[in-house]
Amino acid sequence: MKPIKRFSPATFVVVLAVYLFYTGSVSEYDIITGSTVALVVSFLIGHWLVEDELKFFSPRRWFYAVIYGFRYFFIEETKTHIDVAKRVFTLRANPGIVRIPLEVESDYGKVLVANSITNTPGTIVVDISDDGKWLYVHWIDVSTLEDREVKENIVAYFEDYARKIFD
Amino acid sequence: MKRDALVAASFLIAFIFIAYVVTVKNILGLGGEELRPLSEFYLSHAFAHEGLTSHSPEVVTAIVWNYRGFDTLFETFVFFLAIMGALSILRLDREQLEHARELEGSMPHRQMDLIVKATTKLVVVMIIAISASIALHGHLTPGGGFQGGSAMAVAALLLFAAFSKFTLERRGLTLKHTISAYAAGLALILATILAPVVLYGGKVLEINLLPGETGLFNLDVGEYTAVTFGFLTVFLILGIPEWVFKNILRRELND
Repeated sequence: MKPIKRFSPATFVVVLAVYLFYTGSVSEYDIITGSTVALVVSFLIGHWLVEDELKFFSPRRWFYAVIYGFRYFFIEETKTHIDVAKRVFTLRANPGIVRIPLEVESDYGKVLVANSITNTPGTIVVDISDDGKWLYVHWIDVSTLEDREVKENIVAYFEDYARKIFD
Repeated sequence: MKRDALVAASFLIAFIFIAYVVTVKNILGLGGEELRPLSEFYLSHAFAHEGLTSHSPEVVTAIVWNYRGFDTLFETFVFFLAIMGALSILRLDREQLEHARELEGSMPHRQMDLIVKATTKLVVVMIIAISASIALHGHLTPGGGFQGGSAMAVAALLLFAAFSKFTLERRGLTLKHTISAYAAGLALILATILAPVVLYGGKVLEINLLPGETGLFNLDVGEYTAVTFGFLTVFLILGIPEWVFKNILRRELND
């Protein structure tokens, strides 16, 4: 592969950002060493981390990611925490494992949906099918077994955002 | 049950007593505000504008690579010997490697699921950036070559777990490369240590003769490379599954 094709600007940005964030300062020395490291890494691993550079640099996707972050961490998390806290005192639980169809196509999108589900209390992703089309989720309150309703209850808007951000 | 509680309680009391005696009563002379002469020497000489100095605001690194530099140097040699020992005992020759690859390929490959793989990709790239930051700021903040290299080795282990050793080798990370990079790291350390003698007529390891922070910086980078690729070399050798290794040994016995 030609060297110039191998270079991945997105990886460069990720590495440099993490480097500066971890270092905690932006001096001349940090920028020079950070850029050197980022250059070496992005040439070494090529497009292994980010396959589509245009997607990474699309402001619309980043905008949705920020909106999703706020909506997820402040609203959804609060709601589910209150729900589970209630269950702790009332002891109302009907646990079981349900299967959820996934429509999002990219791997990172699937990871976002799965991690969002796991991070909300009451639901945990236990497995993903080999073709990546089904999630198996342990749910604290199996109130329905109908595919569509289960999905509405557990996945909610996670997948819409995952598709907007990653697909 | 009752005895466990008694043991736990007596340990708790003992620790509280020791902590009280050491910190409040200052029985060992460790506490207190005033500096002892040795610490005063290090603090005033590690980063001075004139006279003998290590040119490093980070006193720990100055001590590790300058005041007790020989100790660190020989530690690096110990690490080198350990890796050479592992290499000489566990390495496979070309024919055996071929055989190992065939055996690995013949078994149905159990892959981690895509969630683990995608997350590992991101985490590995972040660990690489962070380990580089730890190593390259070794002469400025706590950290340094060995710490950075160890963090980097964790990234390699994650890759081994989520993908496999053979995937990495197919991608071009072979023993030949890691050993060459390891040697390059050691060469940089050696060059920095001998540079004061050759260039300035000083003593071995008298790195404060070198301009500014270059001495400590080079040692940190050399140690970072050496530790990273030293660990990687060992992992690449140990990464062969046990049953493959046993199979090869058995074949050698039968021959």
